[in-house]
Amino acid sequence: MLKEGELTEDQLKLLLVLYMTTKPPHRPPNGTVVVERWAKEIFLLAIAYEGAVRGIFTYDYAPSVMLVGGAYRFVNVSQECLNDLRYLASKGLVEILSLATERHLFIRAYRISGKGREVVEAFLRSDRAEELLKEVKNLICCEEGEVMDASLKEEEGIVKVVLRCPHGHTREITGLFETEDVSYESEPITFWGSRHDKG
Amino acid sequence: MIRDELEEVFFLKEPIVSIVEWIPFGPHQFEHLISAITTSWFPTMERPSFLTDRREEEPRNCLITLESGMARIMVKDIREKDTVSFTADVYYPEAEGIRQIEQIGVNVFSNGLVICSSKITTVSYRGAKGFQIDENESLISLDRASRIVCDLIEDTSRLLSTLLTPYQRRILNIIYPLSELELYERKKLTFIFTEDLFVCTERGLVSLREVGDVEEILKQRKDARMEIQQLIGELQEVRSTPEAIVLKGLDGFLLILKDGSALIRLKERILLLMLFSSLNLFFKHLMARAWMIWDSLMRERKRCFERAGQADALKVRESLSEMLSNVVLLEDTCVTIGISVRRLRGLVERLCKDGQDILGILDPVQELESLSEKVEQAKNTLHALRTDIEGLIDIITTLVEEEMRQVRIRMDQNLEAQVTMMKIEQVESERLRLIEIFSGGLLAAELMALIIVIYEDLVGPIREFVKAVLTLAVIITFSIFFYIRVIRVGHLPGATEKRSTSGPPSRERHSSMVKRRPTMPLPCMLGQLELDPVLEATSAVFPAT
Repeated sequence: MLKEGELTEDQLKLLLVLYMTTKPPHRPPNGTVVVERWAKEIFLLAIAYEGAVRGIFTYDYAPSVMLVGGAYRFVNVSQECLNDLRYLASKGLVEILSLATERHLFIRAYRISGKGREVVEAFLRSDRAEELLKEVKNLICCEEGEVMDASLKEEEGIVKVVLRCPHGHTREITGLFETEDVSYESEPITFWGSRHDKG
Repeated sequence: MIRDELEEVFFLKEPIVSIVEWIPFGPHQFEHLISAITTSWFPTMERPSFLTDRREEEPRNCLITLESGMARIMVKDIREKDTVSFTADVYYPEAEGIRQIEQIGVNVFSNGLVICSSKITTVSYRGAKGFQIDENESLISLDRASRIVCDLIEDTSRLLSTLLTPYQRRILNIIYPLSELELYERKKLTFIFTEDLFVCTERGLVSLREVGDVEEILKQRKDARMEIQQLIGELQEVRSTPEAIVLKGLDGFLLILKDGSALIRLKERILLLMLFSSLNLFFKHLMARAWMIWDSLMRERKRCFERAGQADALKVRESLSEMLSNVVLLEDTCVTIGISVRRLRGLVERLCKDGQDILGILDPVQELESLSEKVEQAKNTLHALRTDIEGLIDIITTLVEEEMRQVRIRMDQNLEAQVTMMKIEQVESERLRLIEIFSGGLLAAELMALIIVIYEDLVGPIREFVKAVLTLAVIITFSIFFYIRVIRVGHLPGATEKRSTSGPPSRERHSSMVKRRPTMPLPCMLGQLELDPVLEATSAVFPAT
């Protein structure tokens, strides 16, 4: 079995996020149907972005056009985060769900697997656990330590991820959809349509 | 400004960034584009002119005020029915502290391929940490390149927006919903061409070619892969050819060229690669849209057969009309794609004869076949969808007509009931009048009897025969008088007045009133039938047959 020592700190944090926000198939109290809880990729990217900006994750991010809420827009995507999710899935610690959208295009969602839970529970008994857990809670929990629910909210054309807990505490991640400009100089290239193959 | 502290490890040497997309360009749209960029007095090369993404909003105003966010375009080359090339100096506002000298070359091909290209000459590293590099350097880190790519995607959408016809914008908005709004985008492909990829090592910046086999390095170095994926999406394939190393991503390609002239040698192949990739991307979204319309159609069908109400029927009809127009536009787009695909056949055959080289990353012959099949299938699907929508529109129309027929039947029944009621009332009132006359006569007889008794007491007895004749005479006189005053003058003064002022309503007038009924607001059609007083009165006198 894979041990937590074989995972990087970022991978462990990501696994902890999934441990706290997703659930394997279970019957809720007073429920009749077995349900399971998954985290959409956009939520994990929001957490990775916020974590990168606040120095909790060592990830980089870069803007990329992505399908969000049925339309394409720029999202600050962390390729390292996606790569870690893929790695965790390859080790059987995370399950991946392909979810068809209303637009008939597919998005991904993630859930911790039974094996992943075992790894996290073993890790939580270790000395390093407290520090990492505190950092992760800092990202996804409210002041009272409750895991927050997340949803996309659009106000005057500005989309943000809003985290909300049952106690009414809210936190917003706004930078996820804001592109960052850099100063540069460029020259035009019209070579593709030229007759004499000159730039 | 970049909020995160970037780890910039990989660098591109003066890369050429091409933002590629496929936009349906029929002959009319192509002519529109030419007229749009040749509006200036100086159409070719002598003097550039400005182009704004704003439209004339108030045609009557002679002076206009525009936000100063424009592009200055200069036509490079126009080949009728083939290509249009122009350059654009972009002066769109940027964030505070950002300075961009942004020049874009645009090539629009009549087959629909649109390429916006820029060679990134320098980028500012002001405030960058972790490595030694000049502030303005011609080596562009992949982290910064990804931000430049986004800037170009955004600005080229803005640049092209006024050059496209409303028809093209409508199609693009169907395929990429909300894309015409700010902050939303169309899906485009990114092609990046560079002569070398550098890596930051302890020795400084080293060419990846010097380090070893690029393909192998990319396999081993996760960080390199991650950085490249920021630019061209999830890495799918790496292929080394004598002319270039081709990295294929989900959202584009990165070509590390052997030398500067490789781009010229590979030009036609790259154009084919661009056309195939952009067409496939467009097709993917076109079909996704077709399935979305299909979903909506199913929902409307359900609503239609649930028959929630007449008001809903109008909404369903409206929604079906919109769907139909979208499907017609998509069908039209498929025809344009079909034309582009047919025109490619010759080029594919010629290029494949010369050996596949970089085209090996996709099999062009197979790709062409697959695209042709896709066009045919899409045409069939859209045709089926259109037939389905038209069928549902017919059903809705029939349902509404049936609903209206039912309303008419209910109205006729209502009128009939009203007429019967009026007849009964008339008979009753006649009867009452007779009783009244009779009672009046009896009263007069009683009065006559009293008068006779008084007379006999005062004067003396009268003969029985005379008494009877007098009584009868009084009764008859009174009855005649009563009949003349009450019956002839009119027992129903209101009704008589109305009839006399508006003239006698004809049977035709009544029937026209009934015919006009269905034009009343739809909610009434399913609700309770309400008759207006005029109609009630006329119906009572002239019942509908």
